[in-house]
Order: sequence, then C-alpha cells, then structure tokens
Amino acid sequence: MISFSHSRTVADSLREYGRGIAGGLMFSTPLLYTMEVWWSGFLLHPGRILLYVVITFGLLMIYNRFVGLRRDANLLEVAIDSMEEMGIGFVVAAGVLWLTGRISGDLTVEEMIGMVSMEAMTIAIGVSVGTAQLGISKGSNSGVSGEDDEKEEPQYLPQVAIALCGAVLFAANVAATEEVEVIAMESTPSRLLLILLTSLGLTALILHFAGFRGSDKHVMRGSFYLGLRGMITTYAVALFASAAMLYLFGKLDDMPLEFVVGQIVVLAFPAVLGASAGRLLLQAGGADHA
Amino acid sequence: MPPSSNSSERNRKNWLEWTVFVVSGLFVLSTAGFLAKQALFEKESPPKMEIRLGEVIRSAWEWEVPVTVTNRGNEVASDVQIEVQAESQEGIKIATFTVPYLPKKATRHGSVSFQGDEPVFHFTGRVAGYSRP
Repeated sequence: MISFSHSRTVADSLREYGRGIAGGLMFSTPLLYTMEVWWSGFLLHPGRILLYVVITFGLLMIYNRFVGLRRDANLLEVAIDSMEEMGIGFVVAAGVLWLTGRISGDLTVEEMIGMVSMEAMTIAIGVSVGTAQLGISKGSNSGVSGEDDEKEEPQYLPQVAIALCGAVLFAANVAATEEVEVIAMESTPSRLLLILLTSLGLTALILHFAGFRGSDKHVMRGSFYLGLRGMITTYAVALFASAAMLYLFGKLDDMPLEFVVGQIVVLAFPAVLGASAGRLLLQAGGADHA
Repeated sequence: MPPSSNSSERNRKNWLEWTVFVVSGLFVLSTAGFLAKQALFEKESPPKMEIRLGEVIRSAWEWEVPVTVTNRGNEVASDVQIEVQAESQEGIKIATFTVPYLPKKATRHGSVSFQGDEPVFHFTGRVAGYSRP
C-alpha cells in the first residue's frame, strides 16, 4: 500500500481542485482566446505536440517537487499529482474550447486532440500554481524543499527550475502569436540589443532593487558576483524558455539564424518577467498543498 | 476533519483523488498514444482536395451553390481558393471564396452565389490554388 505525505477529506480535495481550475483559467485565458494556438493544433506535427506534452509534464514534476508539495513528498506522489494536474488541464481546455465553439463534431479527431493538447499544457501549469498558491496558508510546510527558514540560503538549482516554470508560463501566452515575428522582423539589430539590455535591467530591478516579496528569501545575495550570476542565469533561463516555446509552436522552422535570434530576444522580454517576478510570486505564501 | 499529516499513521488519498488520477491518466496516456501513433506511423503526403457541389438554391435573382471541400491528403493546406463556374447561354460566370486553413482529412463548407435570371445549365467547382504552411 502506498503511503503519502498527507491525508485530505473529499471536501478539502474538492476545494483544492477548485483552486486548481481557477488558477488554470487565470493563467491560460489569453491562450484560450488566441487563434494562433487553436490553429497550432493542426498545423504542428503530432510529434512536436507530443514533445510539448512531455516537456510540460517535466515542468509540472519540477514545480511540484520544489514548490507545490510538502518537502516529504516522494517522487511517486509528485508524479501522481502532476498527472492529475495535466488531466484537469485537458478537461478544462476541452470544456472551454467547446463552450466557445472552437471544437465541435464538425472537426476531425486529430484537429480536436491537437487543439485541446496545445491549450491544455499552459492550463496544467496554471492548475499546479493555483493549487499551491491560491489557498489560505495554514502552516509553514510549503515552499522550496530545503529552504527551511528565512535564514537559510536559497538553493541555486531549485530556483533555476522555478524560474524556468515562471518563464514558460509567461512566454507561452505570447509565443504562438504573430506579433513576436512582426516585432523581430521590424527591429534593427541595435533595437534588439536595446530590448536585451532592457530585459537584463528589469531582471536586476526585480531581483535586487525593487524589494519584491520573497526576494530576500529566494534570491542569492552577499556579493556582486552572486548578484550578477543570478541576473545572468535568470535571463539565460528566459532565453532558453523562449527558444523552446518558439520551437514548439513552429516559429523557428526554416527561418534564418538572424530571425531566430531576433524572435528569441523579443520573446525573452516577457519571459524574463516570469523568470524573475513570476519566480518570486510562484513561491509567495501558498496553502498547505498536501 | 482537518487534514492529517501525522507521519506515524499511513496517509492515503481519498476516493475522489484516486478517481481524478485514474481519469487524468486515461486522458493523458490516450492522447500521448494517439499523438505518438500519428507521429510514427502516418506517412506524409501532400494535400489532396476534393470538391462537392450541393443542391443549388434558386431564388428570384440569385443562384446559391453550397460547396463542400475535403482534404484527403496528410498535410494541411492554407489559403485554399475555391472556384465555381456557372455555364449558361450568356457565357461562363465565376465565383470564388477562400478557406484559410484546411487541415488533413478535414472538411469545410461554404457557398457561392450568382446573380441573374437566365437558366444556368452547368455548375463546376475546382480548387484554383492553395499554399502549404
């Protein structure tokens, strides 16, 4: 018999699922109303959609392992919760797409599965975040595993992982749209450099100067080198998340390198907000997600 | 009853959580299996369009022709231009419309209309062009 880190009543579970659904819708409504995401369901190769599903499951595992669950949850429990969140993502995506008339009996099964899959991934991440962050805090057993109290140093790799979750959450809302391509096409190299420098400046502002809640707990400080490392790492995570999301949405296929780099820099601007401010918000407060 | 986290007791998921997990697993695994099957076993083939004209609707000054277009190929076609010709004693008239996207194996419906009161002898439809996104 499997032993878990907690027991919940059915009523508590229902409340948790409700928070998850609310969180999923909060973070993914822009995508549910974006035509390019609907179309990506049939434009993209099924293998790429499958890759998106697998990567999202990995992100859910990362988030649940480091932020969403109590630190005594084992890998099996993390996997079970991640599977639940992804399943809820599928159901919510299908429900909203049907409600808005995007899927119906007129479509082929391939079209419906593709559309629902592309929408469900961001919803699933939102479900995970909503479940963990939107409840009433009952105790101090949530938060990054290993960071037991405010005096302990934040852990580097877990923070990088959570930054990646935040970056993907922000980047996914924009990556599928044509606007990223248009901005990249119309931007000169000097303008792209300016966007890059502005992104770095925003990262520094959010992590070190703006006094964001949680920055004293989750951002490494102590020396100029640590601060610089954090800033560079956060932006690198944003660039990686942007490249990945653009690739998954087919925006980089058969494009010249110059345009590829331009799109990544353009998308990294919102992604870095997720990697920095989003990372802190994802770890702020939170319920006893058990 | 508040949630229990006593490590000395065996903690369990309730029936609702197990149900959600099983249903979620079915959704996720069946979707992943479907996508994997498509990715691995479906051979790529270019779009292959098939047009059917429906029953013509005649009013005083107008002929409306329903059109159904199906993509039998294994690739999406975009900007599919449908052309319908109406042949009458006065000559040939052409009406067109465009389907933004026609996914593989998908069907889309539209219609064209011709104005005039002369008898029309023959309607023909064809795909005038499309692009591959």
